[in-house]
Amino acid sequence: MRVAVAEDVVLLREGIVRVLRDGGFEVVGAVGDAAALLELVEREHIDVAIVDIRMPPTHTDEGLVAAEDLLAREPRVPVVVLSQNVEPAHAVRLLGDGRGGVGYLLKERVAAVDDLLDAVDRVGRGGTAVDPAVVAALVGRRRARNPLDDLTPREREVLELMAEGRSNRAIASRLFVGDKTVETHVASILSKLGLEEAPDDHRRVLAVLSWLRRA
Amino acid sequence: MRDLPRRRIWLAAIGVLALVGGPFATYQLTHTAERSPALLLADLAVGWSMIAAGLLIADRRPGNRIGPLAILTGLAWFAGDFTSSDVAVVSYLATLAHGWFDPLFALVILAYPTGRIIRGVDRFLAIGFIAVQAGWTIAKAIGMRPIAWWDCPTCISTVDAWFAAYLALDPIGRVETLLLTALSVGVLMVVVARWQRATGTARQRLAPVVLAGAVLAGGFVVTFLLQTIVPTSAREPLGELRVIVLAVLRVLVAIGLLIGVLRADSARGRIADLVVRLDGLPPLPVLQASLRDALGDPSLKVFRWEPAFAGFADAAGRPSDRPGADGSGRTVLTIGDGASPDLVIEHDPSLRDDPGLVSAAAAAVRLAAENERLQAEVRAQLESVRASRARIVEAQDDQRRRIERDLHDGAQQRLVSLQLSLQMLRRSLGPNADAGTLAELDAATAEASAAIADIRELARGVHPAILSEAGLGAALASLADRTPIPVVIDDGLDRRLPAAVEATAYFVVAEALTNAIKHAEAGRVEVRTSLADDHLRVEVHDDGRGGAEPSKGTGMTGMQDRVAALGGTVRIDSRRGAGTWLEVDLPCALP
Repeated sequence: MRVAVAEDVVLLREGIVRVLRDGGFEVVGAVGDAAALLELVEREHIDVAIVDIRMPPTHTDEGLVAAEDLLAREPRVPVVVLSQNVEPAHAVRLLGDGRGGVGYLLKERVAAVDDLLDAVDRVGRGGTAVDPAVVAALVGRRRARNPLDDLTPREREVLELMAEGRSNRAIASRLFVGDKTVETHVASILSKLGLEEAPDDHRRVLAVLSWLRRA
Repeated sequence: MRDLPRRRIWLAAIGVLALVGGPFATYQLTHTAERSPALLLADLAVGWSMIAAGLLIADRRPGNRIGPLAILTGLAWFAGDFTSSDVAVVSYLATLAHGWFDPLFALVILAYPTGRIIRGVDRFLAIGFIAVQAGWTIAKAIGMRPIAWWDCPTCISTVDAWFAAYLALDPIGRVETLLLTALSVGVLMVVVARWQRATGTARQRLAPVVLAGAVLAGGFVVTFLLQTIVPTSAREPLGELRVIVLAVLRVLVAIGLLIGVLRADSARGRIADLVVRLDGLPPLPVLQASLRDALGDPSLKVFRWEPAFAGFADAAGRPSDRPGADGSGRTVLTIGDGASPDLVIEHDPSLRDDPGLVSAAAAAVRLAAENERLQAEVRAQLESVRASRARIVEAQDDQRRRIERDLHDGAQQRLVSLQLSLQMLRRSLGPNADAGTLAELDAATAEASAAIADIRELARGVHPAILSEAGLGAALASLADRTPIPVVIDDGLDRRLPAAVEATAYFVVAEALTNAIKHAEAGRVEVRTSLADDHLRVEVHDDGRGGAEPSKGTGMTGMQDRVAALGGTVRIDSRRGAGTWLEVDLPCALP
C-alpha cells in the first residue's frame, strides 16, 4: 500500500516513516506541510495519506483542510488525520456523510505501533478509524438519563469498538468470539440506543458517534 | 457671647450708642433756639438712617468700607448737634466736628458701591473734600483757641466769646462753603456721567448715588446762595424748611445706598447661580445669555477664538474684528492663557465700577472652561484606560495561545517521539528479549503517554486549540463534549469574531459550566449564542439550585473583569431554586 506522510516535526516524521516501512507499507513521500502533500498527491498515486492537523504556516487546522481536500477528490484519497487534541467535532466533521476512507487518531497513537498500522491499513482500504480516546471521552460523559447504563459490559465494549470504526469481524476476532455473537450484540445495542441498522460500517460509526455526542 | 464675632459686638455697641445718643444729640438743638418737633425729628432721622444703613452694610459686607464710612457719617451728623450744647467745652469740640458730615457723605458717594475710590477724578474730589474740611477745622481750632475757656468752661460768657470768634472766621467759612460747593457739583457731575454710561441693572444700582450727589450738591448750592444772596432776615424760616427738605432727601439716600449695596449682594448671588449653571462650557449663545443675565448688561458680547480662521467669532458664529477695538470704549476681558485667548467678553465699561463682580463672572467662566477641559481629559484618560484594558486582555490571550502552541509543538511532540523510539527499541529487541527489560520499556511508554495526556489537558485549559482553529461555536461544542452533564448548544453565529471576543465568551461559558456542575448541581445546561447590532450575546441557563453570588466566586469576578475590559456587560439572575441565568453582551467591533 502506497502511503504519503505530512508532518512538520522532522523527528516524528521520520519515526512514522520507519514504523510504516517496518509494517510493510510503501512510503511514497514524507513532507512538512499541506501544500507539499497536495503537490505529492498530484504527482504520485497514493493509497492513503497520513496528515498532522497542525502544520505550517499557521499551525492551526491546515492538515484538516488538506484532508477535506483529499477526501473531496475524485477518486478520493483516504486520509488518516493525526490530532494533538481529542476533538469529537473534528472526527465527525471528517466522517462527513459516512463516506469511509477516514481516520482520526491522536498523535501519540503512532507510538502504539500496531494500532497505527491497523488503522492506516483499514482506512487505506476504505474503512474508518476513530481514536479509542475520542470514543472513550464520548462514552464516558455523564448523562442525566443514560441509555448506556442499560448496556451490558460486553455490549459497551462492542459499542466502543464499533465507534472506533471496526467491522463486526474485527470486533469478533478482537474479543475472541464468533461473528454471530457480535451481530447479536450489535443488534441489541442499536435497539437499546434507538438507532437504525446502518447500511455499512462507516455510516454505523457516524451514527454511533453522533448519538454519543448528542445524548 | 463667645460665639458672636467681635465685629458684631462692636456693631451692636455702636447701634446702642446711636439709639440712645441720637435723641440726646438732637435734644441739644433746643438749647440755643426754639425748634419745631418736625425739625428735631428730621435731625434724628438723618443720623439714625445713616448709622443704621452703615451698620447693616458693615454686617452684610464686612469687606466693604462703605459700612464704616456711613456709620462715621451718621456719627458726624450727631456730633454737629452738640455745637448747641450748654456745656461750653462740648460746644467747642462739636464746633470743630461740625461740617464733617458732608465730606464723609461725599466719600460714601464716591466709594459706592464697592467701597473703593479708584479713578483719578474721584480721588481728586475725595481728597479735595477732606483737605478743605480739614483746613476749615484747623482754622476754627486756631481762631477760637485764644479764649481762655478753661477759666470758666460752662460760663455763658465763654460761649458768647467763642461765638464772636466764630463769627470773625466767617470770611474763611465763606471760602470753605464756596470750595465745597464746587467740589459737590463735581461729585454730582461724576455720578451723573457714571449713570449715563451704565446700562441695565448697573444703571439701576447707581440711582441712589445720583440722588445722593444731587442732595449733596443741592445742599451746598442752597447754603451758598443763602450766605451770599438771601437777606439775613429771610434766612431763619427758609433755614428750617431747607433743613427738613434736605433731611428727608438724606434719609432717602441712606435707604437707597443700603438697597444698592444689598442689590450688589444679589448680583453676587447671580454669579453663584452662574457657577452652578455653567456645568461645563455651554454653547456660546447660551453662555452669552447667562453672562448678560448675571452681570445685568444686555449689551455684553462673548467672542470665541477660532483657530480655523485665526480670528474671533461672535455668539452667532460670525467672524468678528478684534473685540473692543472698534473705538466704542467698551471693556474687554480675555479668558484663557496669555498666549492663546480662548474667550473674550466685551462688556459695558460701567461694570468695572464693581470689578469684583466682573472678575467673579470671569472666574465662573474660567472655571467652566477648566471644568470642560478636565472632563475632556478624564474622558480621554478613561478611553485610554479602556483601550489599555482591552489590550491587556488581548495580550493575555496571545500569551496563552503561544503557551498552548509551545506545549503542543514542543514538549508533546518530543514525548511522542520518545514514545515512538521506545517502541522501536522494544521491537528491535526481538521476541527473545528479557521480560524485565520489556516490562520496563512498556512502563516508560505508559509514563510518556500519561505525560502527553497531562500536557494536553494543561494546554486545553490554557487555551483550547479548537477556538482559534474553528471558532466559538466549535469550541463550545467541544466543551459540551467533555462536560459531564448534557449541554445543549444553540449556536447562532455565522461568522468568526475577534479572537479576544471569542476567547472571552468561551471562558465565560466554561466558568458558568463549572459553576453549574460544582455549585448549582445542575442536571442540564443550555447555551445560546447570537449576534445583533455587532454585539455578541451569550446566554447560559442551568436548572440548578440558583442562589449564585457572583461577588463571592473569584472565577466569575475574573470573567466579569474580562468582559468589562472589552466594553461588555454581564448579567446574572440566580434566584434560589430557579436555576441561574447568565447573560453576557460583548461588542464585536473592537478598536
